[in-house]
Amino acid sequence: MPDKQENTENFAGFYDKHVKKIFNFIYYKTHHKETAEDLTQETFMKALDSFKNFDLKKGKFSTWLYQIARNTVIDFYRTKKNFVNVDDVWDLAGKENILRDLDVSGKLKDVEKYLAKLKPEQREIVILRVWEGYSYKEIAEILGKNEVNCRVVFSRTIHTLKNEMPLSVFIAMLLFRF
Amino acid sequence: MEKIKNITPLLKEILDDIYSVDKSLKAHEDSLIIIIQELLRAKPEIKIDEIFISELRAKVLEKSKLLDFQSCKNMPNISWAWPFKKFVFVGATMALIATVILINLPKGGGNLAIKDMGDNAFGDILFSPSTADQKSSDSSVLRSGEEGAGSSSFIESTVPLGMGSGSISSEGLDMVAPFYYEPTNYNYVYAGKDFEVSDKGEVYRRTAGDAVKNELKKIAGKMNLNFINLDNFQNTNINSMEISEDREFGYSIYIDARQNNVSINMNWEKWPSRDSFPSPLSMPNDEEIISISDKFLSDYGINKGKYGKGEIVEQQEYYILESKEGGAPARGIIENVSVIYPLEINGQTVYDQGGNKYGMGLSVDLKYKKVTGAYNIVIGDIESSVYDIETDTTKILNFVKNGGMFGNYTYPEAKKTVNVEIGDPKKGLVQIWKTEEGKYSSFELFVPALIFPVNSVSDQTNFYRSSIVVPLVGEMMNQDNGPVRVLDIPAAE
Repeated sequence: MPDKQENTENFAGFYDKHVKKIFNFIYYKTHHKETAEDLTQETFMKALDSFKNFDLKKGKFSTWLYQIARNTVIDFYRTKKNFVNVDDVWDLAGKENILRDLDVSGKLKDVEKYLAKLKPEQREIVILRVWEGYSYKEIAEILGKNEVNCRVVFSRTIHTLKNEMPLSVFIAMLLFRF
Repeated sequence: MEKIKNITPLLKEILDDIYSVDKSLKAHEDSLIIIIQELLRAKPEIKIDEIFISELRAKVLEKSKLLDFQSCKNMPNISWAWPFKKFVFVGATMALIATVILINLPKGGGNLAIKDMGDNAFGDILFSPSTADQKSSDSSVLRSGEEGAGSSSFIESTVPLGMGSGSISSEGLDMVAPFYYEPTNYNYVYAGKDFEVSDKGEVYRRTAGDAVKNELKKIAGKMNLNFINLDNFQNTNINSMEISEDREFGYSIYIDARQNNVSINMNWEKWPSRDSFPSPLSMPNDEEIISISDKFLSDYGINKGKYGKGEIVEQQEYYILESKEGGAPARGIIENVSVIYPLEINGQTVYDQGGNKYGMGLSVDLKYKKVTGAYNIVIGDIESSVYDIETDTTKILNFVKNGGMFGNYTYPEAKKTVNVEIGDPKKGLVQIWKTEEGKYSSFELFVPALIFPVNSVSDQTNFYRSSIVVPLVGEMMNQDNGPVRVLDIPAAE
């Protein structure tokens, strides 16, 4: 069996591999750097606290870690901020005065209301694919889903976005961007 | 709208993904490009504070020192032991360990050189499962749900890794005993689109050639063993040779001059014995595993030009061990992952008869993050010959309904029928062996085929097939692979 020193070294490697990905994952759900830092720390601490609950039968350790990250963000909004039925900052788009990094608010202005209408799972897949460039296999591991299912959800979500956006928005984007 | 510009590779990749799900969306490409480009433009710029990362690291590691990682659920608490504590070299008839042997093998360069042998040059091509050599095709074990494959609930690796293949051996734990297989019939239903097949196709044969044999013959001629006078043996050849590296994590290279095949295995004497599983925390991801494999091939000058990119072979992640003491079954962690570099001939991918990609295989140890074996490294070139191809799609689909190359065993007493939905076929080549007429030897052929994927199964229990392979060369389609009936064996008088 690996000794404790080996375990710690292994966990160090695991931390190094995942910390920035987890941070990014949380940042896309909070849009605030300091909040993302706090919740990233909380995620890793929770993972260590509840290590005994990790069941190798149910999936990979990295998938479990992402689930903890997701639940930590939900707890943050529902428990600490008392926003009921809010999973992340997208659910608050345009509704509340919440702490967000200024440049993020500006950048997301045009697409925010459309992304906010998506289900959390759809939004996660789109963000992981388009913003993080993950393959569907990687996305499936993160979300604990089937790779083909992720691909289909992504395709249908983009189609939904196309249908949601009125023609005027397309024309405006075309005129002002190209 | 004006033509959209600046389609980046990522954007193209995303569009291709979308069209692979729904081709009709291609009609809306301009709109899709705008949406995706807007999403990309809106991506928040994340500036990660490296001080935060390193401070958190210190806190996390401090906390991790207090933990017992073995305490996580179903982490097997067993000591791993190699099945063989001692080992014996097998292979060469002479105990020859060379530090340097220069063998001039045919230089394949990038792509395979293909020699046209004229029409029907390889004779009748018939399929005979008994001649199929599954060891040559290590993409995975043949999964035959209809053939009583319920003898185990795990996938065995067919990798000939020399001594042992990394299976867990431990005190107090045994493999699950075969469980009862409920007779089940399978109904294959094609749910794909109409397709066409051209009437001629090329069959390929891998040439045995004498290049390797000739080089080894030179060595045989120079050997001087005091205990036996080799000069008195006439026209001697070395048919196989094993060379071992005398260093930590060294390898043994096995050269088969008859089949022009090379395999590489770990030199058991020089690898540390295993006393623990790879930690789930430190397991490399797929990209890293492929990178380890690519580097191995590059380091040892093994030509990848004949093959496609390396791919992880999908395999069951765990296999079940049952405690002798009657405790709850535990699950083991795999120690090796297989990587397949699919053989490609004239732009076509080669598959085995189970529909899995066929080619050069590597095995990567997840704890040491090293290649432990490489097999089916093909030497030599290819001959081609044009054959008639079956174009009758009704006949092809009937072949599919009858279970493809391995037929469809029908149990008269079965109480259960499972529907298997088959999807659109892809074209490729299937690897088969053909026995040389009047001889015991055989040679490898690559025959045009359609590979029909299994889209869904109404009851997945004991069904392991991922594809149905239909070889398109006329003679093979004429063989009877219809539903197999159990013959009543008359009682002894």
